Amino acid sequence: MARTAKPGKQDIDRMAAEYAIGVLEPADRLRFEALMAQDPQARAALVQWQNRLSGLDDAYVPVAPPAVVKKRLDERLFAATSTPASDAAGGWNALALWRAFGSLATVAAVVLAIFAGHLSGEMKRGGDALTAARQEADQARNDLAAYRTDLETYENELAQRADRLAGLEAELASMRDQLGTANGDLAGLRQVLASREAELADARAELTAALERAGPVLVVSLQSRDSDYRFLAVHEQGSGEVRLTRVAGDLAADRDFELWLVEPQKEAVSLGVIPAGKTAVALSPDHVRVLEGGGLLAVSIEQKGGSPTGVAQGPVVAVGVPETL
Amino acid sequence: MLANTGLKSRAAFDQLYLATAPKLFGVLIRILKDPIRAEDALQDVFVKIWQKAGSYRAGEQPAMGWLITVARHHAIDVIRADRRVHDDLDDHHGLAAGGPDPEQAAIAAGERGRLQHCLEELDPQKAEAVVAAYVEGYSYQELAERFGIPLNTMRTWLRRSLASLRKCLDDG
Repeated sequence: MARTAKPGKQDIDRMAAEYAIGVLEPADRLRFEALMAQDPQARAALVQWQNRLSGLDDAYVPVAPPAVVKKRLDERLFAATSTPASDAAGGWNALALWRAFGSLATVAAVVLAIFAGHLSGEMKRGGDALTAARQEADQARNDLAAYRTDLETYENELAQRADRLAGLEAELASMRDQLGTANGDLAGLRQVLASREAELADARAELTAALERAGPVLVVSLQSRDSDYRFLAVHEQGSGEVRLTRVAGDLAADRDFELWLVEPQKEAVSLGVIPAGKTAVALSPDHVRVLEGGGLLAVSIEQKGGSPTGVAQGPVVAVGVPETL
Repeated sequence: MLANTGLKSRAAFDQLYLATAPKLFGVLIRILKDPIRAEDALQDVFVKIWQKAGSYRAGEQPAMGWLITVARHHAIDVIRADRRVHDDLDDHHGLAAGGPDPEQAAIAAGERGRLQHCLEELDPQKAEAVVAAYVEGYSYQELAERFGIPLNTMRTWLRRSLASLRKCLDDG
């Protein structure tokens, strides 16, 4: 009876059982084999039945086969030229099968060990090489990261040093300016010093000249503990003047020095504003008499043109007593 | 590299042969009833094993079971092709190379407790028929003759027995 419809699940199971046992008749067997080629469930059903019935395998008693069988088998499978086709068939894909026998017999355990040893040896070597390569790559990555960090650090330092350098250059420029100013100040001071020295030289010359004259000379050194002003006055007895030289002290632009003759127990008398530099101040006969009588000479700082009141307004900055040379 | 692979798997194959050839030889002798033919068959079986080894999946079936399947199916192919002449039941015992009869086989199957239990649930004759079919590789025709029942009845016996076994094994 020809079956045209695809067999149902129960039929498939039945056929699988009969196939597993081996009783499936030729026509049905071919049909089932065709079915298995397309239907994984049919294959699975067969395997399940093979597993169920495998308990009956215990009935088979092992018998050692003659050695010649293996010899012929080896010749058949592993020809002298060792064709790749025959090698590949049993090769790495058969790992599951080779491995399975590890649990079945001590000898088979050796199989597993040998094969696994070969396999894992290669895999281990490959794995080790891979691990080593990965470690090297990681190391290189770490080195690179470290170099980058170092580079950043150096760049930062470089930037900081550049800033410092700029700062130092600014300081240097400022110091050069200050030096310039200081030099300017120094030049000014030298000029002042030069003029003072000139005035001093004049005063010395005056003094020397006076010493060479016949008549007695009165010298008055005007100064004060409270000021830096110093004047030198020289009066030749019999002359109607006193020659005055400023030796030290600056005068403000809007001020004038005023010379005073001071008679003891009497009010000071103005001898007039002292022009800058060496000057000769005219003395009246009365003035001469006072001066030669021991009258003091004093200098005050007044407004331009001298004190308007005839009395010293400003500070008296130098006083001196005549002394006979 | 391929030569290396071949060498390694050949070594494994050698060890596999060493470990399993005797059992498979026993299977072939039991089914073929002829040690000489069994030698040729053993060679053929191991060639098939080498060729099909890549298709074996560990999770589906124990490896030994798979190998025996290859051997059994090959042997059954051979005897079916032979259209083996009907033999006397007694002759088989003599040529069985010391193998146990179906009853013994059932007892031997006792190592697989569950199968034994489920076989015992069956009618003894039917259990015997199942075992004989499997272990000896008998066809329906041969079984019918051995048990002296019609072919269709033997088919029914076996199919029903297998169905019961399945129910017992899967559920019980």
